[in-house]
Amino acid sequence: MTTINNNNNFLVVVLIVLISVLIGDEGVNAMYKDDVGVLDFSIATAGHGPIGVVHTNNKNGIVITTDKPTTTTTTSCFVAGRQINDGSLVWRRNVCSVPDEDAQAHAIAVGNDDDDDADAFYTVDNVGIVRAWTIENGDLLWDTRIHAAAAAPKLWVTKVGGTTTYVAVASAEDELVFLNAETGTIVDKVSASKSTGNGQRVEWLSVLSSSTSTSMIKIIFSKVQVVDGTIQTDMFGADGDSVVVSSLLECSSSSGKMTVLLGTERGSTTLFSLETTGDDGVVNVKVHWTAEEGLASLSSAIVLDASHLGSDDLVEEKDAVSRKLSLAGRLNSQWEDVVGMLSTANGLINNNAVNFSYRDHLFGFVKVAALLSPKVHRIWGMSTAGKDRGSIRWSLDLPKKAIWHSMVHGTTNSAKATHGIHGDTHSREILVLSVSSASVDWMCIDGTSGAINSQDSIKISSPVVQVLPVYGTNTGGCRQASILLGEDLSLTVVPADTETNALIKKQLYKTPNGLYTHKIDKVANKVESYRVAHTEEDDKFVARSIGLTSFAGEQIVKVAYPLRHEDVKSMSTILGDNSLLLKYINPHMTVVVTVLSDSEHQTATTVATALEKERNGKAKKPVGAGAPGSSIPPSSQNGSEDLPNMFINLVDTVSGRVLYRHSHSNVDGDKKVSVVISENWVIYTYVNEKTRRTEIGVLTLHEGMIEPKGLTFFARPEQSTSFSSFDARESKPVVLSKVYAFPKAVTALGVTSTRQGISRQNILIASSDGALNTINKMILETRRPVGEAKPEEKKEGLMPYRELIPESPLFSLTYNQTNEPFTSIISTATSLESQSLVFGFGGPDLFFTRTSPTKGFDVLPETFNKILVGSTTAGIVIALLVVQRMGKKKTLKQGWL
Amino acid sequence: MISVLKLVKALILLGCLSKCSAENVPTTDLEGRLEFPSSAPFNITTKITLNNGEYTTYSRTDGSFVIYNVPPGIHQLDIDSKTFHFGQIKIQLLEEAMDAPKCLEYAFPGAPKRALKYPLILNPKATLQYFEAKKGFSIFSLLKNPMVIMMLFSVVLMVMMPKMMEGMEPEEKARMKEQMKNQQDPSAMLTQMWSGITGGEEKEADTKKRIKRG
Repeated sequence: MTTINNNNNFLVVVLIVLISVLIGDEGVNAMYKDDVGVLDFSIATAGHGPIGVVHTNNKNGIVITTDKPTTTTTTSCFVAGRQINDGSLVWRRNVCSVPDEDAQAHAIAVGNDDDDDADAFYTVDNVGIVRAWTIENGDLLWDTRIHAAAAAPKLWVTKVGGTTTYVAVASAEDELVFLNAETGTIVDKVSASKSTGNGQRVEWLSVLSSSTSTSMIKIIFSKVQVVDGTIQTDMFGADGDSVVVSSLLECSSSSGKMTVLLGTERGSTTLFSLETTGDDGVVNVKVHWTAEEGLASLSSAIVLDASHLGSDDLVEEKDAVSRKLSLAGRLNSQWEDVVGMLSTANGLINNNAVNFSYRDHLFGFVKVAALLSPKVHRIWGMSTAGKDRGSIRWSLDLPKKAIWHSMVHGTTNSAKATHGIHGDTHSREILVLSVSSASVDWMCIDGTSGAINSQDSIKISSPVVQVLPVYGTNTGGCRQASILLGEDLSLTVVPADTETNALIKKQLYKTPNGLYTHKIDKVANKVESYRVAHTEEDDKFVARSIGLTSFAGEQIVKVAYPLRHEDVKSMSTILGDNSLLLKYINPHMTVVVTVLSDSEHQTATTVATALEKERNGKAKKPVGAGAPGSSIPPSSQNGSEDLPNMFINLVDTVSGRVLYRHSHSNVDGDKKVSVVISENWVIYTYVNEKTRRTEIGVLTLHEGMIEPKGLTFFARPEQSTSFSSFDARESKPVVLSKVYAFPKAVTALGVTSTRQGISRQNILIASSDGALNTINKMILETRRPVGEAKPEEKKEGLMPYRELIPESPLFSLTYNQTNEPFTSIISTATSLESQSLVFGFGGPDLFFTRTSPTKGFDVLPETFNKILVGSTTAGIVIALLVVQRMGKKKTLKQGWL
Repeated sequence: MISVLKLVKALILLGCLSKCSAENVPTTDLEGRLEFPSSAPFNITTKITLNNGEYTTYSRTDGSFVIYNVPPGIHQLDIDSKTFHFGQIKIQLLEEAMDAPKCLEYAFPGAPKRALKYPLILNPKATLQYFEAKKGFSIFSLLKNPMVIMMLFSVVLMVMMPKMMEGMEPEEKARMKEQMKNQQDPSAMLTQMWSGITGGEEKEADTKKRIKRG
C-alpha cells in the first residue's frame, strides 16, 4: 500500500506542478490576439455631432451623414457612412483641408441613387478642394482644387445626356465650375453672377442638354434663406428634443411600409419603420437602431461602481468588498464561471441570467460611466461590463438655456489627506449642475440607473466661477452637495435645504483649519484663494480672500488638479542604497500652465535679465523660474529667442502661494498642453516649435531624504502626518526634473488607478494618431542617470537617461483600431489591486479597456486555457485510479506467492 | 487729440498691412505617393497629416496624395497607418523655392535622416506587431520550467533507486533500512545527531553495556 500511496502523492505533485506552470506562464506585458474585444470595447460615432444632412444610398445600403450646414461655417468636417441595416459605422472622413477649425466649412453632394454610377459622393470645402469618395468604404477617388469656393460651399451632381456625370461647384468668383465626376478634371466654367448678388444664390440646377454651355443650363435662384433654424416636430422626441433632419428611406404603398431616419437636435439618430397591418389600419412602429452622435462631444465622465454585491454606503463598502474577495467568494465565482461556460456551450444548465457575471461583480468590473456632453445638453449612463457593455443604460436631457453643465461627485477636501485626497466616494449619487446667467438648475441622480432623486432651480446673483464639492446628507436633497462661488464672492449651497446647510456648517467647524476654495481668472490671469466662512448674523456662507497670485504678462492656458480618487500607499521611495526619498504630497496643489502673452513685458523682467547675464558668461540662476528643461538648444545668435515662453506653476490653492515655477523655451503656445498629476509627479506635454517635436516634462516633488541609517529603532525623523498649506517649512517642495521627447503629438494624459495604489502606476498617453499608449512610470523617472548607471541605481531599476521615449505598438491599448485622437483619459480602480479600468473619450471615438500595470498577479486572464487545465487534471485523476488498481492487483499477486 | 487720431490711423494702416501680408503668403501643394516595397501602389486608404493634424488628407486608391495650400516653413508629415510603419518626413519649404521642397526622412524615431526626392515616394519600413505571440502548449516549453525539471529529476531517482538497491549487500540494505526508519522519526534522528556531536552516543553505549553486565 505504501507504493500506491507514494504513487498517489507523486501524481498529486505532478498535478500541482503542471497547474502552477500553466498559470505562471500567463503573465504578459502586451496583449494576446485572443484578448481583442474581450477586455475592451469601442464606440465609433459619426464625429460631426447632431446630423444636419442625410443622403441615403440604397444601392450600397449606406446612409451618409454630416454636420448641420450654416450659411458661413460648420462646426465639424466629418462625413460618415452608417449601415442602414444595423446603424454600424462603416467609415468616417475629415473632408476639410483648412487648419483652423473655427474657419472650416464644407458641403456634400450625392448622385442620384437610381443611376448605375451612383457609387460616389462629392465634397467641397471653403478653400475650394473638391473630393470624390466611394460610398461603399469611403475611399478617396480623386481630389482637385478649384480657384476658390464660395464662402458657403455648395456643389451639385448632375448628369448630361444620360451618360456623363458632372460635379458643379459654386466658386467665389461667381462661377459654377464643372468637373468630370469620374476624373475630377475641370471641364467648364459658367458665370453665375446672380448667385452672390442681390441677395440671391443658386439653389438648384439641371442640365437640359448634352452640352455644358451656358445656354443649356437651368439654374434656379432663390433668396438667401436661413437654414440653421430647427423644424419643430412633436412626432418624435417627446423629451423636448426636436427633429432637425428626417429622411424617408423607403415608402411602399403596396406593402404599407415606411422607413424613416430622424436626426434630432440633441444628436439622437434613429431609424424606424411604420407598417400597417391588416385591414384595421393599425400602425406598428419598430425602431431598428439608434445612435447617439452627441457622444462625440463629451466634456467629462465619471465611472461609478454598479456591482450588485457592493453596497451604496460609505463605511460598509470596504467590509463588503473584503467579504466578497474571500476564498469562499472566489471559489464560488469559479463555479459560477464553469456553470456559465457549460450553459453557453451545451445548454446543459438553464441559466436565464445570461447577462449576469458573478465574476465581474465580485471583482468590481461592473461599472457605469456617466457621460456629459455640454454641446448637446445631455448626459448618458453607459454600461462598461457584461454583454450589454457600450450600450446606453439611461439618458437625461439638461436645460438648453444653460451656459455650462457640470457633474459633481466626491470632494476635494478630506480630513486625512496625507495619503492622497481621498475625496472619492462610493456613493452613486451625482449632482448635475446646469448653470445659466441668473439661475442654477440642479439634479441629484443615481449615476447607475439615471433615476432622478431630487431636482430644483436656484437663483444666483452673479455668474458661477467655481464649484466646491462637499458631502451631502442622507436626509437632505442629495448625498452629494456643492458650494458655488459667484463672481461677486457670494456662496450658494446646492441643494439649498436646511439639512445640507447644517452639514456644511458642521464640516466647516469640524475641520481644524476650515474650508477653502479658489478662483482661476483666465482673463485677468490670476489665481485667488478664499476661505469659506459662516456669518451667524444672517446665517450665510461668505468667501474671504486669503491669497492672490497674478501672472502678469502671461496667459493661463491649462489648469490641472490632483486626482481625487488616488490612493498613495507609500509616502517615500526606497532608493538603491536603502535611503528614503520622501514624497511631497500636497492635496491643495494645482498646476497652472501659463504662456508668454507679452514678450515686451518679458524681456524687461528679471528672468530675461538673468538669462542675458547667464548668456554672457555670468552664471546665475534665473529669478522666479527654474532651470529651463534640457530641450533648450544651444543659445542662438538672437538671444530673445531663448527666453522662456511657457511656465509650469505649482500653486497652493489654499494659501495662494506659488510653490515652484519651471520654465521652457521655444514652446508653441498655440498647440495643446496636457498635464496630469500623479502622487508627487507632475507630467506635462507641449510642442517645441524649434525642434518640431512633442516633449514630455516631468517634475517630481520631494519633502527631503532620510539616510540609510537615519531611520532606526532609536532614531526617528520628525514628520507630520497631516498637511498644512500655511506651514512654510513643509509647503515648499524639492523638485527634480527631466524632459523627454515623444515621437507623436500628445492629445491627452492620464494615469492608471488601482484600489490601494500598491501596483505601479502607468502613464497613459493619447497620441494624434488615435492610439492610447501605456508607459511604465520608470521610463519617465526624473532620477534616470545621465551616463552609466551606478550599482545602486541599477538595483533600483533606473535606466540611463535617453531623451527619446520608445514607442512600441505592443504598448498600445487600442492595438490596431483606427480612432480619432482622444482628448481626455480617465482611469478607475476595481476591487482587484492588479486591475485598472481606462476610458478614453473627448473625440468621435470612445474606448474602454481593462489593463494590468504590473501584470495580473491576482486574477486569471480572461483567455486562460481552462480546458487545458481541466483535461490535465482529468488525465491525472484517471492515471491515479489506474495506478491504484494496478497497485492493488500487484499487492494481491504478491500475497498469493 | 490730433496725436490720438494719428495713432488710430497708424494702427489701421498697420492692421491693413498685416492683413495684406497674411493674404500674400505664398502657398503650394505637397504631392507624394505611398508604395509597397515592391513598387505596387499602396491601395489602402490612409490618413496623412501635416504638423500633427493641422492639415489632413487621405491617400487615393493608387496611393497618391496631395496636401493643398501649404505655407512656407518646416513641416512634419506623418502617415497614420495602422498596419505598416512609415517614416516621419520633415519638409522645408522656402518662400523663394516653393516648388522645390527639401525633404528628409527619419525611418524610425531617432534614426539618422535620409534625403528624399520630391515628389515624395514613401515605402513602409515595417509591419506593425500589436500582439504578443501566444505560447501554445508544448512539451519543450514545459521542460524549460525549473519546477518540471525538479519533478523529472525526482522521477528519475524513483526509477533508479530500486535498481541501485538491487546490487547492494544485505547488511548494507539492513543498515539503510535502519537509517530510513530513524528518518521517519525526526526527534530520534536529531537525538542521534546530537549525541554524535557531543559524544552522548558513546556514553549511551557505555550505559547499555553496564546494564547488560548488571
